[in-house]
Amino acid sequence: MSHLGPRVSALVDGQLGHEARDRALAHVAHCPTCREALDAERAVKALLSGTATPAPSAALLGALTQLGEPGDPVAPRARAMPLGPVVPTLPPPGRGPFARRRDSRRPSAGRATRATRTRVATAGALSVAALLLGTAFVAGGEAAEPGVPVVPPAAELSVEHAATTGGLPLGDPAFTAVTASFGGLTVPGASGR
Amino acid sequence: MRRLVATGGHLAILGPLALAGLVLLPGSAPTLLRELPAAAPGAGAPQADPSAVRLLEKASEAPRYVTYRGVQFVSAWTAQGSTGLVADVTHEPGQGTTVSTRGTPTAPAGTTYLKSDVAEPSLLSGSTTTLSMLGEHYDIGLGELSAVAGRTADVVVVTRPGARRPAAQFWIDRATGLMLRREVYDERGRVTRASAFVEVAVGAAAVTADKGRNYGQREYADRAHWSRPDAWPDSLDAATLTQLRHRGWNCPEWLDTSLQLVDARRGAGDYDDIVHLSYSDGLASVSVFEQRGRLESSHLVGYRLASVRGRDVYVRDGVPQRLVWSADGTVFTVVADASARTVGDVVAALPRPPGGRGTWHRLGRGLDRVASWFNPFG
Repeated sequence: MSHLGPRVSALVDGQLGHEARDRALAHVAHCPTCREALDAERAVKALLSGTATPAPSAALLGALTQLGEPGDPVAPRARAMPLGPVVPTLPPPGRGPFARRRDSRRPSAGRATRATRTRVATAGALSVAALLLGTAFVAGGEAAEPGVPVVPPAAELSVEHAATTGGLPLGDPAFTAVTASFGGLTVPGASGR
Repeated sequence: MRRLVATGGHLAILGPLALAGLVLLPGSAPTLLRELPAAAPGAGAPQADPSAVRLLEKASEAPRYVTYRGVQFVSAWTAQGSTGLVADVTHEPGQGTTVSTRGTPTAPAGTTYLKSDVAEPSLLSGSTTTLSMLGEHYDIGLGELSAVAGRTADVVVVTRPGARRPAAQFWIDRATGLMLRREVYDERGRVTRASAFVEVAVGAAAVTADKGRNYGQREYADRAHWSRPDAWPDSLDAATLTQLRHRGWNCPEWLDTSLQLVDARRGAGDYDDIVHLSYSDGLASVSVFEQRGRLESSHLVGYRLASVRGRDVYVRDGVPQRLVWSADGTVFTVVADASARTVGDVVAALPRPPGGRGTWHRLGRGLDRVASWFNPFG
C-alpha cells in the first residue's frame, strides 16, 4: 500500500469508510512516515478544536483599566531656595484665600500625609510578606520520604497487568524486553514479514 | 525457566491486540452473562438490550468452535501520539492461537503462542468479570448492521448511561460470532483504541495453509511445550485486604466512582512485597501496584515527569500507560488501559505525592508548614 497522503486528513476527520479506515490504520501501524503525518494531523485538529476565543491578557486588561482611573494624589513639591532654607510654596491647609476651593480641587498636605502613611503601611506589609515567603521557601524544602528506595520492576508489573486483564502489551517496550528474556516466547526463525 | 504471561484465551486475542479491556474468557462467559444485571429501567440504571447481550455471549463462545486466520491491526492514541501494530493471527479451537506481529519502528517482530487451555478467570472470586461489569456500568445496545473485512457484522454499542456518545462499539460477525472490530472512544468521541481484522478467513483450510507458510512443522509442534505463565498466584481475599489496610496499605475498594476492585494479588519470590490491585469498569482496565518504600526516580528509564491533576508523577507513555510516584512511604505504580481522563481520576483517588518540584509548590508546602507551627491543635 502506498503512503496515505491526503487520506491522512480524511482519516483524522472520520471521513473514510470503515474498510478504508481499517486498511489505512493497518498501513499506519508499520509506516513511520504516515504515522508521523497522522499524529501531526491529529495534534493540529486537537489544537484547533480546543482553541478558545482569544482573550486579552490579565496584564493588558489591568493596564487598560488603569487608564480610566484618576491618578494618585500628587505630593506637595518643595523648591530649594538658593542660599536659603527650604520653604513650602503653598500656605498651610485652610489658610490661603482660596483654601476652600483648593481643598476641593487639589491634593492637600493632609491627603499627602495619608498617602505617605499608605506607602509606609504598604512597605511594611510587603516586608512582612517577603519575610513570610522567605520563611516558607526555606521551610518548604523537600523532606526525606520514609522508606527504602524502590525502583518498581516495570516489565514484571506490565506482564502481571496483562495476566490479570487478558491483555498482551505487545506494543509495550517493557514487554518487548520481557519477551527477549524469556526464551520460550518468540518462535525461532519466525519472520515478521 | 520463567515463562511469559500470555493470557486471555481465544476471543481475548482480539482483546489483547486491542490492548485494552474487554476480556471475554471462553467457557466462563455464559455463566457470567447470566450474572449480568437485568436491564433495570430507572434513573441512571444501565440498560441492556437482550439481543446485544446475546451477541456478546455469542462472541465469547465463537473461538471455541471457529477456526480462523486473519490479519489484524491495533491502534491506540494518547496525547503523546499513536501506537500501532499489525498481527497475523491463526486460531484453532482446542489447539491454540498464534499471534505474529510485524515489526514496527519501536517493537521488533515476534510470534506469541497462546495455548487453548483456559486459565481460571483471574478476576476476584471468579464471579465478576469485566463483561458483567460492562453491564453494570454501561448501556448495551444494538447499532446498525455493518461490514468488516467483507463480512456482515452486527454492531453492539456500549454507552455510559446519560452520555450522548458511545464509549465503545463491537462489530461481531453475523455468521460465526467472531469479534471483527473493536473501538473504544474517549469522552469527546475520539477513537482511543481500535483493532480490527483487515483480512479474515474462516475454516480449517485457511489455517492449514498458514501452517505450511509460516512455520516448519517442528516449530509448530514445539509450541505445545510452551506454557502459559500465570498471574501471581497469591490471591488476596477480602479479609486479608482489610488486614492490609489496617497495616497501612491503601488498597481502595474503588477508584473514583466507576472503577471497582476486581482482583487483588501478592507477588511471589522477589516480588512478595508488592500488592497488585486490579480495577475495571468493563472497558477500562487499571492495575495499581503498591510497594513499601520511596521512589528512586533517578533509576527510572523512559519516564517523564508530568503533572497529572496537579500532582507530579512519572509517566511512561504507551499502551498501556504507566505512572509511578510515591506517597506516604508507598510507591504506587499504575498500569492503565484507559482514557486520559480515567487515568487522571485514578491518580486523584490515590495518595498524592508530597508536593511538586517548582518554586510555587515549595512555597505552598512551606506555608503549610509555617501555618502548622502556629496551629495549637497541630
